[in-house]
Amino acid sequence: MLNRSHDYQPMPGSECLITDLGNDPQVAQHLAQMGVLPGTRLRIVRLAPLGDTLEVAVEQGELLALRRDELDALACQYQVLPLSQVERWGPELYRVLSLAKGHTFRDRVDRHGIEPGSILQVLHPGQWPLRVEMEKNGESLILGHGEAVKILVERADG
Amino acid sequence: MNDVAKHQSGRKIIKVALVGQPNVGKSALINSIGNARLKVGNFSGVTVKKEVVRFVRGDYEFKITDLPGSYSLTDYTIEERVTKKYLDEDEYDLILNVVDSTNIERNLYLTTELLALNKKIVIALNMTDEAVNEGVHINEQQLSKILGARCVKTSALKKTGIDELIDAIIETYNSKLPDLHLQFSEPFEEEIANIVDFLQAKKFQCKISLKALAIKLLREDRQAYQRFHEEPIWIELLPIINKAYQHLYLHYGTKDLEDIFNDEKNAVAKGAVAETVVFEKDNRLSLTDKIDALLMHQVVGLPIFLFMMWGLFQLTFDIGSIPMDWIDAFFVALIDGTKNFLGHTELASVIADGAIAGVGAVVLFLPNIIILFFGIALLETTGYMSRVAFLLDGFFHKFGLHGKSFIPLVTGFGCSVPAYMASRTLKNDRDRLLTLFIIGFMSCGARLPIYVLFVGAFFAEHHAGNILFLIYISGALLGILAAKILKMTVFKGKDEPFVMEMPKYRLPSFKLIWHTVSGQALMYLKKAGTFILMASVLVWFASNYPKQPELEQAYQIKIEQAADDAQAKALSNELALSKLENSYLGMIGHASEPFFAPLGYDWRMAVALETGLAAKEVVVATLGVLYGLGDDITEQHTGLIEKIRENISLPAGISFIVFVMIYLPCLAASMVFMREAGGWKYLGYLFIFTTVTAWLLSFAAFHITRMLV
Ligand SMILES: Nc1nc2c(ncn2[C@@H]2O[C@H](COP(=O)(O)OP(=O)(O)OP(=O)(O)O)[C@@H](O)[C@H]2O)c(=O)[nH]1
Ligand SMILES: [Mg+2]
Repeated sequence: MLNRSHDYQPMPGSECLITDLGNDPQVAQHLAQMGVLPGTRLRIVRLAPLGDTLEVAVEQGELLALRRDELDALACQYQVLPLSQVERWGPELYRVLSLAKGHTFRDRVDRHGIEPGSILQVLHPGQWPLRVEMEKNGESLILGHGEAVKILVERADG
Repeated sequence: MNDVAKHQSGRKIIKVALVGQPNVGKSALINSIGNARLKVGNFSGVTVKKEVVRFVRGDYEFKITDLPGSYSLTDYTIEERVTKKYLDEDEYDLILNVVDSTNIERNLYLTTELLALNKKIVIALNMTDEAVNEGVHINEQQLSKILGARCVKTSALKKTGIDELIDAIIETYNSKLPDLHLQFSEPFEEEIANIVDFLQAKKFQCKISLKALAIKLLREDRQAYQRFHEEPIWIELLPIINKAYQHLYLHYGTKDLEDIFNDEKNAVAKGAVAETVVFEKDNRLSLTDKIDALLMHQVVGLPIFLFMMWGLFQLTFDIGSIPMDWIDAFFVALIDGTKNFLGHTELASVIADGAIAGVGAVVLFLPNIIILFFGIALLETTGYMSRVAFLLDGFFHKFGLHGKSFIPLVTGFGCSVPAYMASRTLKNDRDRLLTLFIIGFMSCGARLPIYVLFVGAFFAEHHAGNILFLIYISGALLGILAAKILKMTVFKGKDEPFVMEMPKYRLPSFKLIWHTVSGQALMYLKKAGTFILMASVLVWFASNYPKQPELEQAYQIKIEQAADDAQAKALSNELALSKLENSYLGMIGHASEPFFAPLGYDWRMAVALETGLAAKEVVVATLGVLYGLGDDITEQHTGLIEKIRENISLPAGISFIVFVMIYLPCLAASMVFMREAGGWKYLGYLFIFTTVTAWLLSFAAFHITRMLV
């Protein structure tokens, strides 16, 4: 149960692969009816005001609303995460997939040459502020939480 | 003439069961085929009980039963149960399965289950217009072959494919039931074959095909089991089934037959889609995405919703009050005219002061009602409703409610009757009961007239919309608070999972909105012309009888001896009032006065509230009759709003509004509540709960306002 997403606030943009519908038959049945099955990829689209309800997109693009409790009951492998949560994967190389909007943020990441496709390494995952090293030129920079949330990455080796 | 009769008796009746997942356009499709007016909305769970539509095409009479949408043939919710029960037990000639072409894979899960029933079936690939726009191309001939059932592309919106669909239904009706076409995975098919072989060897007779029966048994279908328990063959069959289970458990690595069948279903659906559907481009959700970025925004989403509601109530008052003045003037003139025409007789009084005053008081608010219903119709048909349910789910959850409760609650702003029915979509009985108990806090359309009347009487025009909004919002907040209290005390228990589909945004057609709103407006008028009319006449009689000749004589003498006109007028007013107070209604009012006096009401307001138990519109009708009679004699005729302002103090008025917000819904709604909740005792609880709450809060409102002004 430790690998459950319990301590993490799911973030918009994260994507996960469902591996098992978990052991609450009611939730499982409910989700299966809606087309969420083992092997399905979910993308978290947005959060509702108190953060406990999420909107997710299922593979073909249908939108579902569900609660964090339901998501937590599923076994899922995250395949896309914001850089702020990569410690769930451990220290590895990550590939940047997309960057959120925002002028100052974009200016700063541009200056350091971070763009979709760049490979990054997080030096001490879980320690804030985050210390990141660019694989290309070995340049390192420090990212605050507010910035790390805006960078969606996947594992570079997988 | 003879010919026609023969023709009619020669018509064949085709009974069709309309089945499909929620929000795929089942009801809309029937509306376009059969010119029906079934309720259509852009969210899951619009249809909650079965409804039959009949129409004639050529030599055939169609009897189509619109069933509530369900994702699969399970029986968790009441609406799912309705559908499953109908399919299992009722008589029908064929199933019309409606499928959303833009979401075909998931829709085919249900189709697979329906095919396994081995009944005649026609599949309508609906929403073709949207599918074309989104670049989803379905090869319907190929799909028909794979599924072994006719598939027809339709669009309920654009009315395409309707004739083809009818033809397909007639053809299928006239042809033999084809063999079950469904192909499951090898191990599953193997076990099916085993059971079928055994049953065949035993020459077992059955209404459905043996293969369908075998599938039912392998799914552990309760009904198939029950039927078999009584058969002698059961003892021999049981070991075979058990062995089949063991094989399946082993093969799938799970002991959950539901899971196993889900897997099978999905494999069939995936296979069919892979062979027959081409997805062209991938810009499907771009528009929805853009709108949602704003409307479902984590921070501004809810304020936007509240702002829109506020706007709606501003419109309700501002635009609604323009024709209101004309309607008011019209009825005042009508009352005067009737009296002039018929003279000062009993008949004139019952028509003018009873019927016209009562009905007029209700019709007066038609414009407001129309605007309110228009707003609700927009909420229901655009797809915004589910979004707001999403935005509110977090708060609702904190107060022990389910996010889906939002749908019945919003419906409750229109009318409580469909709202009680709409709570059938909630899975858990506790959640459902809780929702049923607080629906009454959402002020229904019939209470709107009372609010408009009192707000109009006591507040400046530019505040009126705000006050109206405040009334509705505080009613809703009170309801949510009540939910919390009930959840902590009576309806304790674990939370239900929350999974809800977000429909696409759809621009409602003018016709759809028109149908919805005009239907409701007509119903309101019809009620005014029948039920309210009767109630007003009753109220008139109860307030004019018994006659008091001695009293009248005594006053008559006094009036004749009066020194001047002013004194005579005062005396005759006094007479009218004391006649009223000694009438039956006056007696009832005075009897209940002790209960209502601490809230600041005179006996007339008390009576109005009591008659409001029959229907909330009757409250204004009663006020119209009672305050109309009071100043019968005076020459100046004023509108109802003026009369309220003259006769009722502000604190009493506010206290009255609070009482109306909370107390028991009308008779019709109470009956539906009782049925949905499951017994008299719940209605008893509701009565006590609402009356106590209403009394306490009105008491507080009266005294606080009195201190402030
Ligand atoms: N574009 C388009 N919209 C459609 C079509 N058919 C239905 N709709 C819309 O889809 C929504 C759902 O329609 P309903 O008829 O209420 O669906 P239903 O299947 O009866 O839904 P439930 O009663 O909840 O199970 C409404 O907003 C309709 O206007 C269609 O062919 N094309
Ligand atoms: Mg329907």
